[in-house]
Amino acid sequence: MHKQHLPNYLRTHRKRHRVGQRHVAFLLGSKSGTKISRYEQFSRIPDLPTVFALEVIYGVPASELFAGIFDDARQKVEEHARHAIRGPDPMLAAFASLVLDPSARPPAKPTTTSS
Amino acid sequence: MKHSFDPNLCVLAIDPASRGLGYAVFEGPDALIDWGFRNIRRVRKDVRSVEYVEMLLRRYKPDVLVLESFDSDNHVHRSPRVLALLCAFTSAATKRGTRCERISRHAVRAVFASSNKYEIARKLAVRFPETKHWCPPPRKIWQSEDTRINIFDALALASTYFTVGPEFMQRRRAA
Repeated sequence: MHKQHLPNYLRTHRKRHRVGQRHVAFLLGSKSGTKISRYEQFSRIPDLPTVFALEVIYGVPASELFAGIFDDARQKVEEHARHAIRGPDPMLAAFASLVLDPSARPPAKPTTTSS
Repeated sequence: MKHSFDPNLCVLAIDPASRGLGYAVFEGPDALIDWGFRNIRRVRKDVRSVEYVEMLLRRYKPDVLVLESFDSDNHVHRSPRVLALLCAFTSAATKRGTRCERISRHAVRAVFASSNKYEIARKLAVRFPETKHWCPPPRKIWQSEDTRINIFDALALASTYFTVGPEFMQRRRAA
């Protein structure tokens, strides 16, 4: 049986960088490390801007930082895609098959320019 | 000797001491997820130690809890308090359905080919560079033991578990 990831690996990456919760809190613009502690104890999920801020702080993609949440989201989407393939809408079925087989997807065009 | 492990097998290793407990959490043999020493002193320290281990079990949901072997026939020189604490950790893990494995000090020394825990700590710090700054210097004879060594004791227990493998543990249980 494949074991699921933890909801997030914030504590692991913080410890690898040898910084305290209050240091990360300062970089996020918070006054104390309470929020960081709650994220690390999986009792609270950060909002999207905070997720990207954490990605910048630790230099790790959000999908790796929040591996458990990412796995859950992917499983749900794949389940819905499998339903869609069996459904009556051919356009949705074609798109759902692309979701299930990303290698068949055409290369994406860049939408933003890097500075 | 190689053993087949689930790459995400979650192992929690705990090494209790007089002033708290050292712990290490692994997801597979090379992925160190969390480590540290929890200071637990003075009032109700046994109860608080068990509560802390229960919290770790709740947070990480490990597949295996690894503790030091504490059979009396192995001539383990640990205080009665620590032996009782190890029993309490075992029952806390069993209550949650977590398998509990015991690794003897002899097995750890055999795996690391060393009889000195500071040497073992140095080897572990090389293997897991993120723990390097926690590695304590060898203590002088007049000094008491650095609490950070308990982190490396826990790391050594988990690493030994991954090295000797579950087959060895099953054989030992059957014997």
